[in-house]
Amino acid sequence: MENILEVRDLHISFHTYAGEVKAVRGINFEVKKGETVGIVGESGCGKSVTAQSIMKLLPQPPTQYKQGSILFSGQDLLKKSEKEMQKIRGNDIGMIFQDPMTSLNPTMKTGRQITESLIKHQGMSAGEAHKQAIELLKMVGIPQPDKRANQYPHEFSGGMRQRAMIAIALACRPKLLIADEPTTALDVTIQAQILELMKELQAKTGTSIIIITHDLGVVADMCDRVVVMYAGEVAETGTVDQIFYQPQHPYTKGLLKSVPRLDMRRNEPLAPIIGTPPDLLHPPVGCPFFARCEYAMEVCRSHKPELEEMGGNHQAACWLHHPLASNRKEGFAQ
Amino acid sequence: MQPETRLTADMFRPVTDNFKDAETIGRPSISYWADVWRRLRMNKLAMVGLVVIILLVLMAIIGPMISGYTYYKQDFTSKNLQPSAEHWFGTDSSGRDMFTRIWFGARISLFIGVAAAFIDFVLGVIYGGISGLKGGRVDNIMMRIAEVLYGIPYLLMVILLMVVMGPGLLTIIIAMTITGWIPMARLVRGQVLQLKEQEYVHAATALGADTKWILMKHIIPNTMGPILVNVTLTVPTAIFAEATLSFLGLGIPAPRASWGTMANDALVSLLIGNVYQLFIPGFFISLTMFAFNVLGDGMRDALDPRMRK
Amino acid sequence: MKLTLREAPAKKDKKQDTLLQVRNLKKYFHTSGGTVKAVSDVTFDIKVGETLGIVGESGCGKSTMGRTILRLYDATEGEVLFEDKNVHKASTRELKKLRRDMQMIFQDPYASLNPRMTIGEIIGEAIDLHKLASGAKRKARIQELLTLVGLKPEHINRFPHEFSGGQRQRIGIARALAVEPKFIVCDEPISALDVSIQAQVINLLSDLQDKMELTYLFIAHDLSMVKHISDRVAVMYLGKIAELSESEELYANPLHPYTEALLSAIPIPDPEVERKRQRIVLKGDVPSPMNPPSGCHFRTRCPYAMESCTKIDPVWQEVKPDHFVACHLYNKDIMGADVRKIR
Repeated sequence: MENILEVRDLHISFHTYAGEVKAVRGINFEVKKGETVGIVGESGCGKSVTAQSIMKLLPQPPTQYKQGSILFSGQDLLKKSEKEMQKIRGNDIGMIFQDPMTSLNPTMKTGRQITESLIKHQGMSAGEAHKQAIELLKMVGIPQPDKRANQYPHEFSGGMRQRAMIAIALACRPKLLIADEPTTALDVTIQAQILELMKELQAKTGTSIIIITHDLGVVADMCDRVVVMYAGEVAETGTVDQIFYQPQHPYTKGLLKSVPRLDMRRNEPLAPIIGTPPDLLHPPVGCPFFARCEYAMEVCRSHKPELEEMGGNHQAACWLHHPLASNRKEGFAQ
Repeated sequence: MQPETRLTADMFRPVTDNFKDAETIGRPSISYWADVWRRLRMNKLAMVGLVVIILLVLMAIIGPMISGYTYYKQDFTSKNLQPSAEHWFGTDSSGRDMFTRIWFGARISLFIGVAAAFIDFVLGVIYGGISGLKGGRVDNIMMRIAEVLYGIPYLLMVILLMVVMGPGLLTIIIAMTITGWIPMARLVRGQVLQLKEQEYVHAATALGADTKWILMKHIIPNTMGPILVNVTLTVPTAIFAEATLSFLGLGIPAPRASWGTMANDALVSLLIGNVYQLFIPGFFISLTMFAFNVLGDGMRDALDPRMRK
Repeated sequence: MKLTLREAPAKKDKKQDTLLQVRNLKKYFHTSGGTVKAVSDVTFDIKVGETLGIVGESGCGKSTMGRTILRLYDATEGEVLFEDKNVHKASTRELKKLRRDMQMIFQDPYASLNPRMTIGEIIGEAIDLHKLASGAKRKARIQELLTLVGLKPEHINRFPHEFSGGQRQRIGIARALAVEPKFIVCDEPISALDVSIQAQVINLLSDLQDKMELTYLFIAHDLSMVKHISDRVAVMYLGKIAELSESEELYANPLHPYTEALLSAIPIPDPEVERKRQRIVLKGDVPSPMNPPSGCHFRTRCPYAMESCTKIDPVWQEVKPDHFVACHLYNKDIMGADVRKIR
């Protein structure tokens, strides 16, 4: 199937007083038409930076796109000017943020915030846009949409705000929707509502979705494919089944083992990942996961593993898959 | 990319010591105030301000002693002299040495500034602290009282004070602080209201700490930053206010001098062309204002948690 | 002075004696907009050595309840008995003594440690307040506590901002343990942490419980984590407890429609399970605690709501041994022959 988005060898750094923080260090992934890709990882692993870089929302400086490309429908977004990006944002690519309160304009009626992009991008008349905005609010399950369109964001509850956010993001029928931790700030029952809504809307519109999350449950529920990020790099990528049932990177395996499952015995100890992620001000030379990995080898200390094909477009960056590591790999596979 | 050829089977032996550094912290330890000082030092303008203040203080201490003249000795044979090797800043209309008087005036002006700031600080912290800590009705009443006080026209109050107490250093300081503590009290109250709901304050309560302990250990240390900025900015305001009052003739009486009274005295000889008599005290007032303001601004930036990281 | 932590007594009879009794506890906040009924009439016991989990969505009053139990807030009504001592009637002196027994671990690892204090000062504060040790012994004790929670003794002079979220949370735990408590309220201790770090903290809490015979009130919104750590679980909704039972039982046989929906809403980290699952998606939002619905608080979102739910407050009843629920569906007087079967 056709790739709607291709991220190639992307490097992003932040310049701080203490030096250069290499937040994203050469990542590759693609998003196909109509699929949902999850990007998972711990805070500081670069997942949000990656998402925001697709929209080019990061201020430069301190952000610097060091190298690589972000190809959206074949065009490199990193080469686009701010003006060209404004045409793409909200029209071809929509975005949902974690905290709807900070991403909605508090001084503008919710309906206006939707009509604005319809008028700007789709060239609708004010009347048409208003009608369409109410239609959109209805579509995302906001009751009394004609009344709600005339209200300000603060009059909405958290779940309603997130719905409004989705309505705005989907107003121009974007080809790609980026959802950056869309449900982290919400309660479980509201999260369930929003996730159902996103699935429903995707079935209707055929939009591709990138969902950034740290919740593996959300990934299992929503995604076709998964990109596991660690310390600014891709540790493993594959289909949701490959990642959950045959994880090939000790980090992925560790993540899966550290969450309790409802079928676990009570008080059966969880298997946490020891330690904390490395400081990206001074990224390690070898494998970034070395200091926390229970399968670590001498080679991991000094040599960085590359993403290797595991079969079926499943890739992992780990020395365990090197032919010389065969006896270590047995322990891992168990 | 690593060339494959360099890899040997030996390199694939397991390691076990990789966890040992799991809880190690790489960055060097730095205390809050050391960190603030580090950021303040990077602000060149603030450092210029700091150096100027130190020089001013030093000169206020030794300045009156080095010229060999006293601030009060009148010498009508050498009045209104231009700055020269004899009199570095010239003499005034009564023939007093301006250099000595400037540094003597610096003592008075700086003293007024620091005293006013200190009194504002003490009153403001106590009043604002109680208001914020007690909260509810007590807070409401205390803040209304402060607002009413703040509403009284300032000059009117000062003139009244002068009439009642007569001119003098004490009167000036009281005039300076009678409403000056209110902004400080408001600042402290806001900080306290915010801090007392912090989880670490709850944690201290849960550990059995009483109000006094929480105030001393948690609230005051955490309000020190903004308070210090405010104090730093109060000093020049007070110096300037004193200069204004002195210039209007409401200052401290002769023979003692502050920069404001010197500027006032200079008005007479301005008519006969002795601009330097006004210029010199004016310059030092401006310099002090500038130094304290840039230092205060620098401190504000250095203390701002949003600039941390 | 012996520098070990309180030894755990032999494990016989564990979970028999009641440590803490909460009786008709209410906590209202009076605001300019009206009265917020954060906790309205909750009653339950916590037994020695157990972990009681409290789950519920934001605004259900679970954190307020935890703080009111510790008397960080004064109760509006009702009482809390810790080893038969009335916490809310205790004098200043008695309360200080009680504070040694009852501790708290907070949600936000960034806000719960004073940024101006070193780790040694933070943990030492607990020791100083109760004059438990001084000088070299105090330092040794702090370092012992740091080791106990998996940090290094040399961290004693560092400041909170130098630590990661998980490490800070462990410092918070060490502070609570410094006074050798019997009971700890864990107020969402892992919500702000990354998945891989959550497990570290949970395992640490479990280990400490075994080592020191601690009793926990574990507040969280993550149901799978609560199930994992708790012996019994209470589900809260809008200031009231909807259901309370032994944790395996609650997850296997949820009785209250809210518990059912809550369990169904958690995404499970297993794609196969997720594909097959039929979710109960609740309609609408949680009503404001300023103005809760009449009768059963859950009725506005309940798929089974009936006429009587608007009028009558559901009774708190033990429908089977150790399984309590407040729902008309299980009340014979209201449902008659239609009363819901209990598995």
